[in-house]
Amino acid sequence: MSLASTVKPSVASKRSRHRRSLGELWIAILFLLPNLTGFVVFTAGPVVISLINSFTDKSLLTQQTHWVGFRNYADLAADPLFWIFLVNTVYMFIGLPFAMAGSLFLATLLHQKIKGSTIFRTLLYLPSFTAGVATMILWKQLFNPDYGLINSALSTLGVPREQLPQWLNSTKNLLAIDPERLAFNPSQWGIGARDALVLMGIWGAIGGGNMLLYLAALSNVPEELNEAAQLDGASGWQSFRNVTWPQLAPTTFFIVIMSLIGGFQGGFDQAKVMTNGGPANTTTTLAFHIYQKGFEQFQVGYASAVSWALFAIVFAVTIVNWKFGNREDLVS
Amino acid sequence: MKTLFFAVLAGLLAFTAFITATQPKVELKGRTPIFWSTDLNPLRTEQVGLFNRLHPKILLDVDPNNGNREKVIVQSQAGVGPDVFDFWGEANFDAFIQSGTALDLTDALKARGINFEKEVWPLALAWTVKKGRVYAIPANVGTDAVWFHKDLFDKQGVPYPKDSWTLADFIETAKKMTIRDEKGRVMQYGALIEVDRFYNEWLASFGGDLWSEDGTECLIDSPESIACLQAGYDFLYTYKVSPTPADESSIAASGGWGGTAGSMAYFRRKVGAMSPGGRWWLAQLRDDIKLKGYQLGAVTPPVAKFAKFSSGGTRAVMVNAFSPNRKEAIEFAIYLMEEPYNTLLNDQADALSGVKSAAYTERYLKNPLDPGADFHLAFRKTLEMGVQLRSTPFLPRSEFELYLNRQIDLVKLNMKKPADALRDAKREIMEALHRNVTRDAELQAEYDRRIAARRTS
Repeated sequence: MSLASTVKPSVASKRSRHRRSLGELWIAILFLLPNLTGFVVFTAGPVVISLINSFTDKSLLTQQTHWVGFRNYADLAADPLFWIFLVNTVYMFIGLPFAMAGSLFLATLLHQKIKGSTIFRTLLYLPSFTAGVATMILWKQLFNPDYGLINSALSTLGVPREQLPQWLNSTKNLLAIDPERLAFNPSQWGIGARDALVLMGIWGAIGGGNMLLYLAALSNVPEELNEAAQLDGASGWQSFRNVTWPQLAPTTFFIVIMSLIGGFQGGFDQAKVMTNGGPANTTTTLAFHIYQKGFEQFQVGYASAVSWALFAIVFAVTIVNWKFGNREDLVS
Repeated sequence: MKTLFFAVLAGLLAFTAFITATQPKVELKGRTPIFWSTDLNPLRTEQVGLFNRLHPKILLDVDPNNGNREKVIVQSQAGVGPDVFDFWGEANFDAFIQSGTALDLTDALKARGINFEKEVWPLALAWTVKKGRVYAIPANVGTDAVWFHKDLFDKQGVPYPKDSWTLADFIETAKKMTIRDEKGRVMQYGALIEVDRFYNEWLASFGGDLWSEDGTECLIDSPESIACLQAGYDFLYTYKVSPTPADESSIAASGGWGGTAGSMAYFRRKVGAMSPGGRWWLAQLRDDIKLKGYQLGAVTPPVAKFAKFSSGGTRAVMVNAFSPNRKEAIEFAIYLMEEPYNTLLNDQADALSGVKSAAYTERYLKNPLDPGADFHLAFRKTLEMGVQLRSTPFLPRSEFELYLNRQIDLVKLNMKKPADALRDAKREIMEALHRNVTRDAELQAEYDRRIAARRTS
């Protein structure tokens, strides 16, 4: 067999394979097209348009739009309300460690081989697939200062009536932040609307997706590692602390990142359904502020600028997390 | 693979065709369908039914799910908006005109011989007429009078309040009607006052206003304005005859901070002896009269200094300028000005008819649905006292309210004195106004022109 005769079929088959793969590519694109069109029209397109809008004075109330450069960004930086709303947003993160610890605790319990664990898993996941608005209305009743279940329970435990938290009706908070300016105000120390929302957030997050993530991660921890630790005389806590916990680091890191991103974008539903951003704007988060600016005051340009400022904050926080939280010794 | 793709595509198309073919069809029978974006009030059924009977070529239907301003504007600009839609408030009125969503109805009304500005309540004009052009028709006009429970007054031996009473009388009556238990806890409030509503409704009676005549200066820190907010505060914290925000939220059926749900719920449960409230409350109170034997009265609001009342306004209807059925939609707008609709509305007690003359009839005073009742007159009298507070073209109303309500919240929570709150609110509002005018060259020029005129004068 000559060399030429061996090369020729090879080139031909390559061409044929190339033609076939091109044909398959077109078919694949055809299959993807509905989804891709939706993504471009409803996600990527609006994102780009909102970026452009953020440099304009676009309003739904006027037909003319002008290019204003960075003025929207300068305005929001100079607006004290923007910073107060940013603090309101960040305040909600107080619940994050508690929610994560709760999720891990529940996941550890559910990881035990006990009868009916599927039922427990379903029950604990209930808050995640119950309609948000319904649970918020329920929580609103629970937070009722006079007739709510929480204050009734506190009263039963002996908390005097005048010391009962006013929950959604109070501007007080655990960090004693003044409701009007970014300052510490000791008279504001206590439990108020912000804390009520944090508490509700913890309840929703403990048994949700984070618990499932931890449950999946726990099932991936090799049994033999724990067995080896126990053979070496480690107690249950030592085994968890030194064997299981490091194995969960990538999951914990993922949960922290996703919770921070979700947290920065959150607070809209609660504000809309439960507080309308009050009292005295203490539960107005950046997401609700964007809605107010964009859809109540129709300042689309400004609202877009707030959105992109929020994106920049989330991006920066994620980068910092990635740099300092994604350590090799933790993840690997 | 190709075969599979086209098979799936064909299957989906066939499925779509099947669904489309099996959709229930509306029997139009040559009628043009139009949609009215309004609330889910059951009274609309009769109002729509009457229109459809009077207009056999048009088929009106209600769309209760798309009434928000943002939805109407966005949907209209996308070409899928309602043909006619309700709105409430000056902020919405301006927004719909500025966005080009509201159709100018002036010529259509003139063509039917309707003298709009003469026929409707003056209170309704601020939200229907702009620069001499009519953009909206009042579907109803509402104001708060003061409701009271006659039997609770009889029980305490306190005489019923009478029209033309003063704020001092109101406070004294509220004190007498507030009942406490042996521990000092309030069992019955004398008056159900919500501070923010009180401020907005009684400001004109104190002689105050929100803005200067030229709209360049916010006047909420005037002595009259401070006195008004102080009076509202006093009901809660000085005289303790009205519920605090914590009490309010205790009975709020739904919604967020404050709102009117609280007062009506308290009043219906007889937790309060008196309450400012609208004639539309009858939609619920009629059940109480019928089933629980409630004996109700209503009087005009007490006067602080001037017999003026800045409560209320109109639930007005606009015709969508983008609607393909504008001709039919205009017919509906005209219907709202006609006698059959306004008589029906007054019978239903869906606030008051937008057309004045319909409230000056024997039928209005002796409503067949409320035999023996004497409370209808108070609402008409209150409307006669009605004035609109001034606004400004230099700051959106919603932004103005954001700053004002934030400070009033602090007053409601007893965290700030009314005077301090209003001064701070004014400072924030004026800062926002200046930020706003610098965004728009035309607005800035107009603002500068008015400021210059002010200095000259």
